[in-house]
Amino acid sequence: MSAPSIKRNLFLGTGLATGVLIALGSVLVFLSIEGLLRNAIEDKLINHANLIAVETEFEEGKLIYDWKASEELTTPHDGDFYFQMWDLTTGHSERSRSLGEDSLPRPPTPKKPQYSRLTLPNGEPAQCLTMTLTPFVDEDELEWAGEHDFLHHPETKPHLLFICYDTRALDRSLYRIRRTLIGGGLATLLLLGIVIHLVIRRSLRPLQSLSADLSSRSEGMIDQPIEIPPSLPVELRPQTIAFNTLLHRIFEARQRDRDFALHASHELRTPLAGVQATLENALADERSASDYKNRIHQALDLVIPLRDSVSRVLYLARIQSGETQLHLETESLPTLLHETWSHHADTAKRNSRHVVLPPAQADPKVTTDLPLLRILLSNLLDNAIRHSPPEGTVTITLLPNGLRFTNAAPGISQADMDRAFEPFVQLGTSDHDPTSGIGLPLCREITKILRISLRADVSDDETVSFTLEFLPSQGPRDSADS
Amino acid sequence: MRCLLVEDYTPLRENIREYLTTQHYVVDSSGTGDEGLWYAENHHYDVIILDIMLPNLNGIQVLQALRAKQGNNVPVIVISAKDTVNNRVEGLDAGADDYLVKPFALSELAARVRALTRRRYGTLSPRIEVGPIEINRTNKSVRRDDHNIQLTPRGYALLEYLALRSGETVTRTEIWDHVYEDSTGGSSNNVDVYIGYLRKKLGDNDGEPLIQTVRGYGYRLGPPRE
Repeated sequence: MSAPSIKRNLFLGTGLATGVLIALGSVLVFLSIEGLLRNAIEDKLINHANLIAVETEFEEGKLIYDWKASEELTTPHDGDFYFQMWDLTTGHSERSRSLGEDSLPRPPTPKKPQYSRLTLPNGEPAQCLTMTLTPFVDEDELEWAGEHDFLHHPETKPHLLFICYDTRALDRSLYRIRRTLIGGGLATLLLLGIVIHLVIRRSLRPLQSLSADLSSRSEGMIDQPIEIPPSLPVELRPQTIAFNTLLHRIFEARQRDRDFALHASHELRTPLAGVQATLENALADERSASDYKNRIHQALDLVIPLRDSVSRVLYLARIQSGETQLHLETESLPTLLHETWSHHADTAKRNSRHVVLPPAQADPKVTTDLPLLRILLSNLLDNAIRHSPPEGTVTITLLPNGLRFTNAAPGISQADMDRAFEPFVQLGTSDHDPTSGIGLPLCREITKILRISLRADVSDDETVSFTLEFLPSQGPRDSADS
Repeated sequence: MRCLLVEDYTPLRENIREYLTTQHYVVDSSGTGDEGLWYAENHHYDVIILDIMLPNLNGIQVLQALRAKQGNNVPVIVISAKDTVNNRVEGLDAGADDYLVKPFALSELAARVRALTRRRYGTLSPRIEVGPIEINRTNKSVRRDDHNIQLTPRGYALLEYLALRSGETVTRTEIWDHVYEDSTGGSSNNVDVYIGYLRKKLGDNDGEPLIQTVRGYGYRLGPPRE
């Protein structure tokens, strides 16, 4: 099955409609003309019948078909008229001279004059009139009847008149008219078809221009909006604007991807530079084996967080692309928090940060994807420890349906906090860390998937808090709708 | 030569500092933008190596503040992970003299530092000749009359600084600022001790001294510039 075509549909639709209109018009014109011509013939028939009726009369008490004599003398009774008259009392018939020896078929006796068509004995078409008449009694005859005391009874001598008019000429004329109308209609249809085709082609040209514009675009221009020229038809504007909106969304999505790749690349370059510089320094001079060993250890220490950073970047990318599958389990939130803390205790101690945890207890319990929640808690804890000042305290408070991480963070403003969830934003005075740029954006992505509310606030006493709340009415979303 | 290094990633900062030190540079380093700006505004540096993404004040802001100050034309090399054309243009337009994308080889960074200091002191060749003395800044070697002269890092740094400004009288304070690590306070006696050491190594005591003492001011290498 071929695809629908606007051009074909428009062409066939308008062509069919125009064809039907032309055909109907032609038929109406033809029928009107035919009606007029046949009415004229009917008038001729009735006039001729009246003449015959007048000339079927009584003379001195006898029925005389005077039209027979008149037929010989006057031309109007001759020519195209053929008629036959029957005396309904005797069955005797008289016929016009034009019939020769032929007879017309006797029609049934009508109550009122009736028109019909038939083929004459000579094979020509004819339009006919059937009527009954009574012989005519003129003034001379009435005078004669008075003188001779004769009483006329014309109603006792009814006659049936069947008169036909040869319509050979009319049929020829109607045939010519019909041929002219059909030929003219077809020619008009053909001309209209060409005009419709040209109009449709011209109307669809902007679509072809749009198509050409889109297909000629280079790779870098794919998501750029289509220019809307003033000549663009109004019917195409809503579609073009809607398409431009779609292109803008694609542009934004691609921009996000580009930015992400760019940021990831930038973020990984600094620790890579650190590794390279460490190894270059190691090779710059002759060193003792222990010195080499120390420097290799230093490089390794840089590679481990770099590897973690790459893993997190990949994890974030997978979450954003919806590849991650969720596996729901139920666990105590304080237990999870204490478990997470165990991985950060050494770092906090080494950096002289104090962490106050809520007591380990069974409630509240949460049903969610535990690996994702562990990453979320770990990142928030890591973030709080990193941004609190030396000897500062991170306080984690248990809420009825979540947790709050609070720590002092001098120099961080609400504007900083608003940007905290953007990838690779360097906040406040924290030292550069390869993982610092993606921790909070990763948290934001995880909370979206797990349907957890995450809010960042700064208070007047330069304390920042991250509040995590599980939304009871909603479970984690499927990764497929991420 | 005294350098300021402003880089927030500690392992990179420490390695660059160590490498440049082995190249006989005196290196001050900082991990934040505001501290780096304070160093740059309050000390005399031959070159500044500046990262872009810094806490508190980013590298572009540091550079703009530095260039806004009248007469501060110290060469600046920007080191950054940002590698797009726009990033480079932004850095150079903000007043940087060079732009190096991370990760980079330390030897390349050192070569660029040398190139900028040559330009700063108007010597385009990596070799400086002052009378019979020839200094190769690439391999840090010193020769006099086809004889190699072994110098300590500080001795080489002192001679290189005097040679870059040969014919000019260099004050003890300038020498202190550009050659010694602790630039917060100088001791003219320390400078005099090192000048004495250098003269001895160069064999200045045997004839007409190459390093002239300009009484009341400081020292001059080579004949005075007209």
